[in-house]
Amino acid sequence: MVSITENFKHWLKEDNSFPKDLVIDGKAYTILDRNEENGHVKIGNRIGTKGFVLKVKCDDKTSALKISIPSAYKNEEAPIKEKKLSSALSDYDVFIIPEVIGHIRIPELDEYFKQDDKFYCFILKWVDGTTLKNIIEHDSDLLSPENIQKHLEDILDAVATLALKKLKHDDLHLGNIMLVEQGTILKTKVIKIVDMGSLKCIDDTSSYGKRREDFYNFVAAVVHFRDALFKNRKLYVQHQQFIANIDQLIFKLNDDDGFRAFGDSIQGDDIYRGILKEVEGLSSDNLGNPKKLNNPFDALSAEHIPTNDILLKLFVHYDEFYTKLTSNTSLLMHGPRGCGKTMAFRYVSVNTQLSSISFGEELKKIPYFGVYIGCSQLQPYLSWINNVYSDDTSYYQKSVVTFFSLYLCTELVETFYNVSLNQEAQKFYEVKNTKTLTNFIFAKIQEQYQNSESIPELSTSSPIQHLKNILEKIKAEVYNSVLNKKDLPIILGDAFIPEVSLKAYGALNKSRKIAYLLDDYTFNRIPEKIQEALNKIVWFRSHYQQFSISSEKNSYSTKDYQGANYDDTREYDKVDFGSMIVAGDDNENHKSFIIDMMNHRFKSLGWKVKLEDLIGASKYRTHTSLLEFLKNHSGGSLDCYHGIDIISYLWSGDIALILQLLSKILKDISSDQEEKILPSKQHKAIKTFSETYERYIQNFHVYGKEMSSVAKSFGDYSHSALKNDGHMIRNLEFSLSTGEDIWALLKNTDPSAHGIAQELIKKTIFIELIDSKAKEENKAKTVRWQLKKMYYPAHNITFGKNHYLDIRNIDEFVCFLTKPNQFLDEKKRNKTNKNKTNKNQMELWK
Amino acid sequence: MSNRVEKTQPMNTLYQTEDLIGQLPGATALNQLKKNTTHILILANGFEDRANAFINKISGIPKYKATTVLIAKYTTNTNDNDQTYPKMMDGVNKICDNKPKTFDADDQQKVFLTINQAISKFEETNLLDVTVDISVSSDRLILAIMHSLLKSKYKINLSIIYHEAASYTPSKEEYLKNKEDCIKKVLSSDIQEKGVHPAFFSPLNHGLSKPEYSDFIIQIPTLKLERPFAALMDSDENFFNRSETSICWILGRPEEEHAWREELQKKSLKKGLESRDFENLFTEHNHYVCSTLDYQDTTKLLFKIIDESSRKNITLMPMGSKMQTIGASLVLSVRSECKVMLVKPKRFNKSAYTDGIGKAWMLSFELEKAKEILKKVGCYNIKLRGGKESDSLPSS
Repeated sequence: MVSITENFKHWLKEDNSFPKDLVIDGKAYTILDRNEENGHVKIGNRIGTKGFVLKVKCDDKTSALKISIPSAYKNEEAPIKEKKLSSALSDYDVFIIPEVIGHIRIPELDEYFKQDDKFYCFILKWVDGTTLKNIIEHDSDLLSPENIQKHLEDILDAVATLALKKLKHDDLHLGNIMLVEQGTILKTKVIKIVDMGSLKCIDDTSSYGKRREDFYNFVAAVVHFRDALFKNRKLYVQHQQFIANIDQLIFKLNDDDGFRAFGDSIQGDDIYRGILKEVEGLSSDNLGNPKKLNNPFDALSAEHIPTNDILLKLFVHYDEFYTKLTSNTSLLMHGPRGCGKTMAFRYVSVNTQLSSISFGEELKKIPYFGVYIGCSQLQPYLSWINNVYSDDTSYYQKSVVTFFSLYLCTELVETFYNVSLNQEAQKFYEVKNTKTLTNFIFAKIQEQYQNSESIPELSTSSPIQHLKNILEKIKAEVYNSVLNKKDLPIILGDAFIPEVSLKAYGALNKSRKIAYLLDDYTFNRIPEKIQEALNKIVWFRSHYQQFSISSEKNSYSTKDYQGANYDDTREYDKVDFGSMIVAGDDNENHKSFIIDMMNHRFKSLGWKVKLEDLIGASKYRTHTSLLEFLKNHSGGSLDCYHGIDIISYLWSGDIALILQLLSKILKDISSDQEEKILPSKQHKAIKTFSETYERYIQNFHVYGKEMSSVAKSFGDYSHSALKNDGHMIRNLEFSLSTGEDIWALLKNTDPSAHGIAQELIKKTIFIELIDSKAKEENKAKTVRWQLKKMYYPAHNITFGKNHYLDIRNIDEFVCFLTKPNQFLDEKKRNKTNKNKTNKNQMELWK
Repeated sequence: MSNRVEKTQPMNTLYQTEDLIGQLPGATALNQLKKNTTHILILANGFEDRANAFINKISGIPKYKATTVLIAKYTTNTNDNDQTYPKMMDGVNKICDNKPKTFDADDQQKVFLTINQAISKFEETNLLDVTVDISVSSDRLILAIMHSLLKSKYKINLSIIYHEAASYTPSKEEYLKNKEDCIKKVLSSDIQEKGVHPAFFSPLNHGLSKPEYSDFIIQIPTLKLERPFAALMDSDENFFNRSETSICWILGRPEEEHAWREELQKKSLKKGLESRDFENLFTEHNHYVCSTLDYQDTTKLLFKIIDESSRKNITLMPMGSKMQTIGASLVLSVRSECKVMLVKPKRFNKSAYTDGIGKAWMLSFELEKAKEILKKVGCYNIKLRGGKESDSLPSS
């Protein structure tokens, strides 16, 4: 095979020297990109196997001069034949065909060739762009299902055109397919096929395989794109369905019987149309995400709900919570894990609502344009910065803010992109003009971007999508720089997000604020110092932007890195969702929420059953009736824990947990079941669940045994108080001066008791209620902890309260946490003695 | 145009993982080193007998030289480790003219940065020789070292050295004498590791999750179960309600004289799960067994499990043998969507750990080549006409 030697290639790349002009057919072509002093021309990767390409200018027109090495053609006729062949394609813009053909002598090349060697050369249209090969190998972040599909359609069309003209390119790999921008106003990315030097006629005498070589290269292109997506794991995670669809296409393309593979799509004898139809269908979700749950207890946590569509169907709002969440002010909402924060935050985001069939009244209640930001996704990136660079304040601050800003901006742009695909949504959200927004972001990014390679110009065919890809790419660059503590390719300040929000607000016709729904903004996810670095952005107040934040109690910071404090009287509203549910004791509300939630699940599966029918009402609907029963019951089997009232009492705001319990009670039900589950069966399921749930505590490896002992002892103590005195004890209470902090006190007194206490609250074994002042004098408060209600059936206790465990001082608290058995036995003894004394005193009075 | 295609049509088929992984080097007995020099030598300072086996060996080779020596120091059992440290330093001083650099073995980010920094000093070197003795390296350390080397842009020849211990606790005799008692001992939290720290997601392998995908755990447990269980408890708020389809186990099959440990591990794991009300999490269908020495076994299996788990957020808990961890690290280099959860013990019980020095093994990787092979797993073998295979895109 004739090809350029390694020596010559090296010369071309490193040591070349060319004259200023080359004369072809009497016309002088000036070589561009040439160093005037030494004649060196930057050729870059424009070196092929049989020649190279120079950028030249003649009569103000820039062209490509393709120079072939002398041995590339067998005879003088060959290049002329090539030009003649390619002229058949002159009507098709996709092919870059020679305009002029000639030959030249270049004395500078004499060292590598014979002196009388002629160099055949072709003048072609100059195209600015990059090859698809280059994108796949070095810029795969820029790939998307949409642009891959478009490129494949275009390549297939070009192959079909060649076949129609009875020609074959014969070297149609991705390195010979360029992606260039076309048009003046409506700039679009189109492919151009270059290097037509191997163009050949095909006739019926050619073997079938030889005739189809271009087609095989198309198949190879399909495979290369598929593998590029597969290797880029970020894209793989996002587009698994698309990859599965390409795999199916490859399977069909491998079939040696075209009719069998594409029979359904073939019109007449034209297999290309059949394949084109398959390619056009690549982006469709035909295998798709599951359209419904597999069973009523699938996806217990919001995170596991497979699609936004299902989430919309399953969402039931807890009124008080939802009203706050859909307000037009910045919000800090904290509550225990599993109380439905993620579900609600996902529900109010635009991306979820786009799955809605109609943009009706319910949606109008959401007054903002919600962009969901899950902190679990941000955590790994920001934690890295936190762990490694916490002693370099300047780098730390810059990298945290830049990464966070890019992340938010990408999510915002993606949301706008998703809206742009849905006309109904565009109308609903009054999307007016996204061009100003995208141009603004692009200009800002371009202005700040400091890498040697500039950002490619924004495509006008789908600028939002292109911008999203650019942002993703820069985000990855920022992270890579952070990994190796290199200068950041871009630095964005605190003002970037507010500026972007303002433009986005404008794009929505100023009808809705931009709301960033920052879910799980806890120290566990976003460390305290990072939160302080970000709080200037997060708590920035304006008429066009708000942040709604979900967190856990004592797991967020309200300070920023400059020490300013943001509080709930000015910057945001604070809502304690945990206390709202737990302390509310509003069982009717709980009941209707649980019934609604379960019935939504049944309905989403097309089941006719209703929870209230399957479970029925409880025999003991009030705390006192249950108390009476439990107090007086002796021996025999119990069946008191049954019915919807009891199930509602058991709920402490943890949605996944109540669904788990229901899954045990309703274990074997069918879609059309009419009979109620027997109370004894319900009781057994609830009791077993409660016992297992309590036993589970010991499995926590941090203070598991200690916490298990605290919960068990407290449950036993409560049971004994119920049996002996008819007391309902579910809380422990501890009086403190207003200025004192229980956590600081515990830490100073006994660090391990402090650790146990922290874990008890973190794992929601106890729930920390809002401090009370009801039984205190001035300047004092009561710290109140409630044992999670799910543990009560394990101890045969009731859900109400008429007494509490009184912790009188910090030493008692420490004792309760570290030696619960001993401490509570002592309490019981004291109580018995006190009862005896009281009894004696009563007898004295008699 | 006819739509009938000749039988000679080229087929593009997926590479066979078996074939690809088979191209990676296997462990060979460490009889003689290929070279008497290395640019970077990475050692770990531990308390086991085998901790200094390799440094003792190479410091006895007259001309052996290492340009840079990095020593990983643990924050656990520091007093025990200090006892073996002077001997290690004696050896290091014989083979290296430069002062060795110590670093925190338990901080994966620091490991990454230290190795990166050390490598960058050899910018001018075309092919860098790196030797790592993993005989007493923790899973956290092995993963961090491998991650740093596999992510490096430099061409690296990597030699991994591994000395087995001569005997492990419990011994074969003890086990055969009283199996139940041994299982109880394994399940006792005090036998070899005393307490654990909270589990953590590796900062180097943080994964790429998608909120709507379901969680899936791949657990490669150690024989001592406290750490694997701790990782499970911390992995998910709803672990309580997990089903057997959301988790799979890769147990270890040791070679020849230690093969009995496979049964001990399986029985202990089942018993441990039973006592925690999780007996449903271990079934005949959700567990596999892989060689503890042949890392390729683990590599192949992990690729299979991960590539078949579409639409899942995968958490890998690689706490098995050192070679299994090497196998896992190779997979992680090209399956970055998997996050890794790890647990650090608070303290080891030195007296109940391993004894003596067993067989020595070596793995020699040309990392560039290995990376190319790993990248092909799950991809197509493109065949052009005439059955010619195309490894990469043709150059223009």
